[in-house]
Amino acid sequence: MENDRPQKKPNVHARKLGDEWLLYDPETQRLHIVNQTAEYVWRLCDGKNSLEKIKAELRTRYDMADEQQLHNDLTSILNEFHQIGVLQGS
Amino acid sequence: MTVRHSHEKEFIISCLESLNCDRARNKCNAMISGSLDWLAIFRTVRHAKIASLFFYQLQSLGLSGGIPPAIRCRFERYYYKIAFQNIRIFDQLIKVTQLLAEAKVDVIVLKGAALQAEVWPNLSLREMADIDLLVRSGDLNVAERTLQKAGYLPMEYYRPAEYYRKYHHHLVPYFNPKAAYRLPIEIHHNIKQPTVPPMLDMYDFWESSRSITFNNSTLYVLSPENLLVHLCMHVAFNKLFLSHIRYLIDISHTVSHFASTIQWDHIIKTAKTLPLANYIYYPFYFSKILFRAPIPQNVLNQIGTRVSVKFISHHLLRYLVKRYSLIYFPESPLIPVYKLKLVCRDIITAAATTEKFKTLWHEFCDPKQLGNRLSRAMHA
Repeated sequence: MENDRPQKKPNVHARKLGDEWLLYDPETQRLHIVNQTAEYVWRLCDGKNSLEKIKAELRTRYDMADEQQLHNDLTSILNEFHQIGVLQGS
Repeated sequence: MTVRHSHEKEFIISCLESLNCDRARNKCNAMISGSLDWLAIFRTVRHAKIASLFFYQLQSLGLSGGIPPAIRCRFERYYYKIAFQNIRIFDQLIKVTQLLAEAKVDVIVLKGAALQAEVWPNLSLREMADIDLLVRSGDLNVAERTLQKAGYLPMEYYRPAEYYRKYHHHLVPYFNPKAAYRLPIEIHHNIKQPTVPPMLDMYDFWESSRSITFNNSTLYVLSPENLLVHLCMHVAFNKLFLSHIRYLIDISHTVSHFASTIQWDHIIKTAKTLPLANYIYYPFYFSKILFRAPIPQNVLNQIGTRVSVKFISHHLLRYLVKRYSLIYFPESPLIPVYKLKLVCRDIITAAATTEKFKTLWHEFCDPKQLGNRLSRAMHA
């Protein structure tokens, strides 16, 4: 992961849609559908929380004991965020 | 008069009815296992602008698994499309309300956006085609200048701006040419055309307006009672029920949403004193009989005492609304819905006469007119 303190783009906003969340970027006019876990990670990407802090939050919230699994999941979500361009520097 | 629907329409109505009725839920359960033309269902609900709500309701009932995969995929795409569209609409709405607030113009959000912001529980459930805002008559010029200064342009393809000023209850629609989604923004000064009596004083609408929070923004909306009056007026005056059942569903859901907090006496008084009995009674009546809106019977009875519609006309209106509210044009090419809407309007405005019905009947049966409709349908 390139950035130790990921930060979301300020214009992108999240809206709830049933059990899912939508990330909307008014600049690109693109909409991304994400699950609740990804939305939670999204909220934590405020440029202040370190990856370790985000992991700790996820560990507590989802009661995840498998460290490798937790690492893989977080990496995958952040990579996805970079790919769709909703994080700063992506 | 009993109205027989196809299985598909029966299923759609039961599904929407199930928002307020347990028996309808059981009926949906029973019907989904039978043979249904899902493409016709999809087209019908999309045409009625309720596809997203219908799909959501099927999901809530745990029945979406019964939709064939290809049609389910179309429903899902439609559901997200409406969510996307609504997000963009609210983006523009917030910008416009901020612009007007900076110009010291008070604004009340009306209809679709107000319902979506407060009444419907999910961003995708209410399709919107425009933004309707109410400003005080005295602020109309400032509001228009503010939009113009910000680069908004008038949409004059339907009527010129002067026409709206003279005969309409809102300004010519404006749109933002820079926005990706060219959405009409209608600035109202009243909720009803000034050309049709009675005149409505907006004082009470402003006095009883409330603030709500939507996505961290503060919006002003009508009181539940005036929201219902406005929805009734809109459907009775402008949409005339047919092919616009979403407004009846709005009324039904708004009543369920506010439930016991609604001051029915206020609505009864408005209906009786203005007088607007016909315009309020029928939307309530049809919301109740079609979608089980929990409107107290005594409220309907009290408003009903002032309704000036003859017995036969009442039953004709009831038949037309029940029969043609969910119509999908290409499936019913010979039905002149527009003419039927005029019949509904004449009944509600108590202008229906035997002569008018006779003329309509002749037009309806005229072989040349039938031929024209058939030819239009074949080219549709």
